[in-house]
Amino acid sequence: MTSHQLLVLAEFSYDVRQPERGYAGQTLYVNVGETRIAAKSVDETMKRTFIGGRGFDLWLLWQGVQDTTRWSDPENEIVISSGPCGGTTQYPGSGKSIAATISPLTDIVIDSNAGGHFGPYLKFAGWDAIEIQGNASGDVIIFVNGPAGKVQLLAAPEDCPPDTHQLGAWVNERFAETEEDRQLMAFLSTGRGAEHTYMGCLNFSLYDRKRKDLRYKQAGRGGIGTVFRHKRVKAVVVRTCSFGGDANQPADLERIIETGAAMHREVARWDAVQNRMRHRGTAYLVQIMDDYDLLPVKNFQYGSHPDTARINGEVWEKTYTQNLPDGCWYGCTVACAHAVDDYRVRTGPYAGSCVIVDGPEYETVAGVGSNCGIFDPTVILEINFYCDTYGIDTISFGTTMAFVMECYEAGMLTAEQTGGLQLNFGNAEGALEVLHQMARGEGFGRLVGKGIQRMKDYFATHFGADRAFLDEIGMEAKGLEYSEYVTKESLAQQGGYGLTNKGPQHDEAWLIFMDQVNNQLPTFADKAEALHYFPMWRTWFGLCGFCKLPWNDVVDPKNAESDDPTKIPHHVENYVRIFSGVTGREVTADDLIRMSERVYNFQRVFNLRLGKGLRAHDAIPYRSAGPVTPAEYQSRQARYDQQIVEWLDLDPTEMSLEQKLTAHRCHRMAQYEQLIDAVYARRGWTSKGVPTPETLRSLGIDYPDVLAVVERHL
Amino acid sequence: MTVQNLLDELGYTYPHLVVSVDGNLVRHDAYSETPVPDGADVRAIHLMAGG
Ligand code: SF4
Repeated sequence: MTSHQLLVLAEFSYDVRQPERGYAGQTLYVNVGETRIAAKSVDETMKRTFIGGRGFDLWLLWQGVQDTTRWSDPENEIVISSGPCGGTTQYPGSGKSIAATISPLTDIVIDSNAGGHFGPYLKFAGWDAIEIQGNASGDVIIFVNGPAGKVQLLAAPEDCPPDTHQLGAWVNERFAETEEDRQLMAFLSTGRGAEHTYMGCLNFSLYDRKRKDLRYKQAGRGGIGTVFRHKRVKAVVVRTCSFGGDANQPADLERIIETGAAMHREVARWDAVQNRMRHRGTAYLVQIMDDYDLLPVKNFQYGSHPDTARINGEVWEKTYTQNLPDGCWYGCTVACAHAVDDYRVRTGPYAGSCVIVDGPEYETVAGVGSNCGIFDPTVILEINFYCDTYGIDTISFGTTMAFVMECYEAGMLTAEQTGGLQLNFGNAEGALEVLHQMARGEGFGRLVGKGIQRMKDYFATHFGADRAFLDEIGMEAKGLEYSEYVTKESLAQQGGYGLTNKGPQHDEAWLIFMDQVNNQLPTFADKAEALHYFPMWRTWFGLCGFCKLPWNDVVDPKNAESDDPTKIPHHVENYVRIFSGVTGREVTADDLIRMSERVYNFQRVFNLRLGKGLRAHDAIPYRSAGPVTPAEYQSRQARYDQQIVEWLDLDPTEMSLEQKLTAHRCHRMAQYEQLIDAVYARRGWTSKGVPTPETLRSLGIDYPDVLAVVERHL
Repeated sequence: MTVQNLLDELGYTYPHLVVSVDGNLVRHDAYSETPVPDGADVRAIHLMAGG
């Protein structure tokens, strides 16, 4: 059976426009419930105000939903867009896509980026974004056939496999007839884990020409895969027209080529003596984080462990298949998207199969490894494979399992309640069994799949667990599980997690070294400035289709002579040149920040519209700010005692451990509240966390419906 | 003591540093040969990373 033989539920023909200056000029709307497909045009105002990527996602989503829309409602949408620079092949890291939806974990908008070929291919097939609305009554596949100028909504047959790695082979067989077809095709999918949990991820495929096989990058955070399956979408397949290095029809290709060539030279010269991304990927961070006491160990209690050397970058360098061009988009010489080939699966439904495991990346190693007390690389690979193919976010899974394990060890949870599983830290087989249960929607795994926020409610209500303790150790904020960094000694990074729009994900701000190690942010004003600039800067990557790693993970040491090395000004200048080179808009570095401010504030108002987005929602669990348990205090006793002297002018030798814990808690939480005040003021928000009408006016997003939302909270 | 000795002593293993001694930048490949005089103002700025 080929795609031609699948039942067509709806069909839409369109004129395929080659992108001009980075934009196709239209977005694709597919309502899978009403079996309706339409095109929407992209005008100059939309481009100027929302740029693309996350900006387009939010703008389209804002118009699609109501104030009362929940994640499972038919009017909720999944919107995916790359951005004007997405698909550039001359500069590293220029093929990202951003997906957004109302999240089942947070009940607000989640955005999550992914590599892979989907976003650029969608644009080269004629669309700046795809907007999926409605809930279908049976499984469907959306097929965007660029060369034919046709979009089809197809009924997915019953033999469609449940999990991504098998579904990928199935899609290849049905939708691609030749090797060239496979290279020009990309698709989105998820697995059965997304059907039964709230932490489903969305897998973005890329066809690896060297391996002649499919690989996947994940938009992991916030349950976008859960929404995808709730809509009964099995896959979104895009076949693009063949393309070259000028597929965006940029305004000034020469400028892009020149800028890219300089950056490629920089990567080639310096990566090998800096982070070794080309060999170790982001897993190089594992040992570094351990060395600086920042690696989450046993549910973020500790920051290092003697066994870290068993799962550090050196180990992964030997485990990943080397000497392959592991870029997740063409032309990325940073090429950090490594994989392990011929991994033999040993548990679950695919036991005995030989598979490619994508990654593991730092967050996965730290999340499902050290944070769960697991220091066995083969177990990390096994969990990584299953999370991806089942469609479960490795970060939420890791942080959630770590929470469960601490609850188990603290006696808040018994083997009777877990269905017989003894979930101590380090129990790899137990963690795997929970993962398989999550995918099947059975047993204790069904509860774990709902995430920490809902587990806290359940444990307190049904198991009589101590709610206050659960709140302190449950590493979630806004309903989203923390990504994998210990923040206790960096107030700025506590804000970097807590004062985010979507929840604690490090892609907004990573300030730990600036704050904790370099001591570059000594005052609240300094911290607030960093918590304005860096989230705005990092937001900008997601508007345009860029990956942020080439910005700061490999840098010519000449950067040290610049005015502000932490911003890496010569790379910022590269992005100014690429943006201008693609779009033809001459901009400055300040203009880039302004673009982000618009979208960022719009997202904050969106949260308000959905009933969240206030100061109370920026609260963090105390474990993020300081030591919760006596054991945690004792593990860093000298440091904490010293802080009692320096910060509080008290004598720790005269205090009980309980008194010292309380003193730290009071001080640290008061500091966090002061930080919130400083950051809100810098961002132009009220003390309740609401963007003021003046802020919105100055950004040019004072639309009547936007103002109406904030006015309710002034 | 050299810059490299000092970085080792402080446990600064991150490879992506901007190091200065009394305001003078020290190149990465010169850490082992650059002395740190007594009382010198040494700064080792870790360039931000994070996945
Ligand atoms: S730096 Fe890594 S994650 Fe970013 S685009 Fe390149 S390969 Fe992908």
